[in-house]
Amino acid sequence: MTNTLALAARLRALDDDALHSAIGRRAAAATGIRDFFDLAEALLQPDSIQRALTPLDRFTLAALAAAAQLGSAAIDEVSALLVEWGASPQPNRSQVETALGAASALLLVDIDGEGGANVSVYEQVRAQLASWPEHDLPSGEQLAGVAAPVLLTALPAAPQETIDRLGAERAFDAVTAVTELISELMREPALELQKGGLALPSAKRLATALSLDVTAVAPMLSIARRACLVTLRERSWLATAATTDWLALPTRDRWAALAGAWLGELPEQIRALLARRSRSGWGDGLRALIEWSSPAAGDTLGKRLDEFTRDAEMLGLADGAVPSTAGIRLLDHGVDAAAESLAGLLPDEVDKVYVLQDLSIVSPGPLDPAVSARLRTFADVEGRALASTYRVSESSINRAIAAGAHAAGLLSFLDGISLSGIPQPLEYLVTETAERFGRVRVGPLDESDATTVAGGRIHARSYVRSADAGLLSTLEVDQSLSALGFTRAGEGRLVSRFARDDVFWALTDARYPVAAESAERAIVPLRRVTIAPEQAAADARDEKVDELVRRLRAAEAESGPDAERAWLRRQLDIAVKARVALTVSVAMPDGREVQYTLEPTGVGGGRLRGRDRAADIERTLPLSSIRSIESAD
Amino acid sequence: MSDGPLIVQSDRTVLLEVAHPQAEDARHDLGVFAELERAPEHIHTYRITRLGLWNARAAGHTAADMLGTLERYSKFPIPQTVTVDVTETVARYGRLVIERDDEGALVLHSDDLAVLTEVASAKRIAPLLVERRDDTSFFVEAWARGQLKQELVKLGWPAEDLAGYTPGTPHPIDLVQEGWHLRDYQNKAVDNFFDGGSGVVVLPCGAGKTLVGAGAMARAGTTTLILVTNTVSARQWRDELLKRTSLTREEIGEYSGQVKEVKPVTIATYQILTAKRKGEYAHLALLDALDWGLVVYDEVHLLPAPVFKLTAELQARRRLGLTATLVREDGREGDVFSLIGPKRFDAPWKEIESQGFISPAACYEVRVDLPQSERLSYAAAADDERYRLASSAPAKRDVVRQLVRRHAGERILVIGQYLDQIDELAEELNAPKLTGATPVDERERLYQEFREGTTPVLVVSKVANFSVDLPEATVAIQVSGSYGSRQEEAQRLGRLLRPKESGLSANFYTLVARDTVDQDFAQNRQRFLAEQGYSYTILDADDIAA
Repeated sequence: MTNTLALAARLRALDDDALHSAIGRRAAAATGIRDFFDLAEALLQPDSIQRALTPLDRFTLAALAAAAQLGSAAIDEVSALLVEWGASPQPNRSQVETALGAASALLLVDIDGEGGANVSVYEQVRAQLASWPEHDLPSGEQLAGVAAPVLLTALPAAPQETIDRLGAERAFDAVTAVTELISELMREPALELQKGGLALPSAKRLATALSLDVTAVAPMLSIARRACLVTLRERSWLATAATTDWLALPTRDRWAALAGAWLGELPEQIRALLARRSRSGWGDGLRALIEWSSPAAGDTLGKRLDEFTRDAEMLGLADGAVPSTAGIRLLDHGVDAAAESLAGLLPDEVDKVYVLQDLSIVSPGPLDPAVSARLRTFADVEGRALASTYRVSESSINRAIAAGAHAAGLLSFLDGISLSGIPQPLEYLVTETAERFGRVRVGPLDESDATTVAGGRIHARSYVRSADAGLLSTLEVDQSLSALGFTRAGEGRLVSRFARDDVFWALTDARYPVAAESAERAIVPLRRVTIAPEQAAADARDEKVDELVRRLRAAEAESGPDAERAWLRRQLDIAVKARVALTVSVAMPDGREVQYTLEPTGVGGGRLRGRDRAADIERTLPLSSIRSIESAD
Repeated sequence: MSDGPLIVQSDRTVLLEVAHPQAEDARHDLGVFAELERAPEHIHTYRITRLGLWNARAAGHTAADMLGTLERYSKFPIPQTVTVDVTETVARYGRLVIERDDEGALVLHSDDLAVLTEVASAKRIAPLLVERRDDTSFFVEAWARGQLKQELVKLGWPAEDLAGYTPGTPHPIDLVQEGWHLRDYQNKAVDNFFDGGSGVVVLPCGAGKTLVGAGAMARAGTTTLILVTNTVSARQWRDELLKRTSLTREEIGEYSGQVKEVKPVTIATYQILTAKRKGEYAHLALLDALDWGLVVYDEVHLLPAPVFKLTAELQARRRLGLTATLVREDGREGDVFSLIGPKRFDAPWKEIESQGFISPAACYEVRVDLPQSERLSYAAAADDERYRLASSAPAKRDVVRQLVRRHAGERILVIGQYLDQIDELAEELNAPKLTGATPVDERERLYQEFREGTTPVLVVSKVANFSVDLPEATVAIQVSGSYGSRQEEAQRLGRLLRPKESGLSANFYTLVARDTVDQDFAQNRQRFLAEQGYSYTILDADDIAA
């Protein structure tokens, strides 16, 4: 059977989950693939094979190259060839088995029989590996025989304390910057360019909000993305729903989430190298080692290493490519141990604040997350550093009251945490806002609620109601609200063609005491924040693969009871096209099964034509009589 | 590091917890190199700026001294970025020196050839240099000293100015301290100014800035040019100098729209200095009329843009800027710094108040509900009309009347922005009005009557914002103002801060139309005073009536 046929058969035999994983691992494009043969053909294209080979580590590639050299061999034979090529230290069977298992999972090799009795590398993969030296990539012998560069000096002991102190400072700054980033993206998403990268106006806006240089914005975005705190949707960077929980964590745990995500996304080769050398420098030497370790990766892995090293510095895991204690512990023992080592160096949290006359609130240190979370329900974060600043406004109080808070509760909470009492203007604001809350109510109208006004029907999407007739009259004539197109719809009621939320924010901006309500007239707290809908970006990719799997199965099922016939027909077509000799099993009228070795020349009219080399005659066999076919080679 | 009163942040701001036992010491040491940005009641904000660091370096403080201060009083570890930044910034000062050679020519010198080459080839600096003098110096255009310093600061290589000052024509001036003496902070301000050479003294209204000017003049003992905002202010300066110094009428000249006298001490208005005839500044000759040894800029935050240019050419003379607030609505605070000089003395308003040198004042924001008809007019108005409608709403007039009644017997200023509103208020209150159209003599007469108490209520426009000495005013009712102007708010409150012989405390009312843009602008206006520690009590207009 051809490699394509063999691979198509292998794919077809997989269950849906395994098939999904296999396609995902090879990152196969879903477009233009109708059935398993198309998929097998796509996976055996040189580009696709090279893409699959690129990230593999040196030993896996060497084992694969040895198996390719042997064509079809047992694991032990592959091991022997590696030794012959100079692999040092001498690889044991289990290492070779693991390496080839990884290649098999990538559909580059087929392992048959118990314990890897027979390993066969697909022909196209062999060809691809054979072509490597022409492309300045190592041959099998070089892959096995060239030793790793000797590098990496031991850490100088003296500056560790300084590195750790600077690391803690950076860790704190990173948490602060990501917090600011989230707030800013909630306020207004950032635009991603078609060609990739943030649009300059968005980058500048974020840089201002984060008090960072514009070049530091992309790294912060990448740190936050890894932790699933922000996501890219339709060319817009948005905060995700996960931010709510993250924001409620203490600084230490917020950092742990960022550092853990960094570790989680670290490419396996880099992670393994760093873990082995966690107490050594991460500089140029490491890059040389990475290049040796992943010889097909070119600059890709080096660039990723640069990216991860840069982010590690921002997270306080390293300084000048020398790991901090938190960095070492992260790689050696995981994120909890790292966070523990950092905790003592982070500034202590405070649980009291200064409430100032100008309606701002200043925490003289990082604020306890529980206090901060409560404060944020009725105050907006204005600046976050060691000391954070919050600002109370009519709109922020409105938001809290809409969420069920009461003036007395807010004032009592403030009284409990304030080092400076409650200034009269703040008390006035809270009390007045609470008193006036909801004098104007805005609610939704659904499609069926088209309203008849002045004899005509308009498609209103929201209503505004108030018991204060004067207030409603003012709304009707207010120039700043004219775009809402308010129309009187009976006593104490206006309607607008705009949605409830739009009307609510317009009225809020125009300083009306407004509350949003549901169709059932229950108060609905609205926040002017943009959060990405619940769906991870990774899921979007998975959906494409799911769709492909569904399509493949549908194509298989479409053949209905004749599925096996169609499968046979497709295999024969490919064999004819590839001029591959076949061993064909044919059912004879007397019930016997006869095997012929044929060079197929065509399929048509329900028959296979082929030259029987043994008998030196042309045979024509009815497809309905063919029981199975196999490659004769 | 200690559990101190400072929080040093990586954005170069430093917060000071005022109630901390070490706060006073920390404030003293920090003030050497950090600028006080906000001083509300409980927590003050300082900023470590390049200019502040260079000033401190110029005064002999090292980076280690400054970092030592931060370490000593900081609650948390000093961010490494701040440590590095302070060290590097301080190290940039003094690599370049402006000095005079034996022939008196102006020279830019540096032993650091790389820095000298870098600055000399900069596009905006090259034209200011005449030619290379030797390997380590360039000749500088005689007129370009100020501009060169300005550009070098922008490039991040501040020059140490050792070229000295023109001493001016000697003219002895003595303070006549009979029954009074300069207060400690005034002496300190004069000392700091002289130590620094040139610069700005920031003191609250009523805290005696004129006396700081007089003290500086006495210390300089030279011919002096004083630039002021208007003629009334010019005359107040003259009267104060006559009263507090040995100067006589013959020695003090007024150079204004009305009079053009040049005497050893000449007081000129900004307006006359920037007046043009046939496209040319007509009175520039005044600047060279005498060999001035000292130039005093009153209300330096109002210095008109053209005067900046003139000032750049006055770098050889000592310059003293006086103001209550360095806030400039045009954002040109940096130019004041470069051309007049850095801030040499500053004290939070509340600190001077606590020493009893300015009067305590209670500030109120009175929220006025608009009646339905006015509310409808406001709602129906276009955006650009709304502020005017809200701030001049007739509903405010009732509240003004009630306040005037409440403070009967006191000296009351009613302050408005719009002439028709001022007319209506004056008529309704049966009080004289004072606007830009009021002749100078008439203004002086009205102010005098107000001081004496024969006219207890004055309705004034923004002409009374500055430099008007009305010590017995105890109530100001601000009906409308210039949108969100912070410095105007500060100046208006300042009218009330001179200590009162009557012993009455001062009350400052701002009337605000509820739920209108008036409220937003009022909030912005109050920012500066809130940052100085003043608190506003919010009242409903109904509370006044009650």
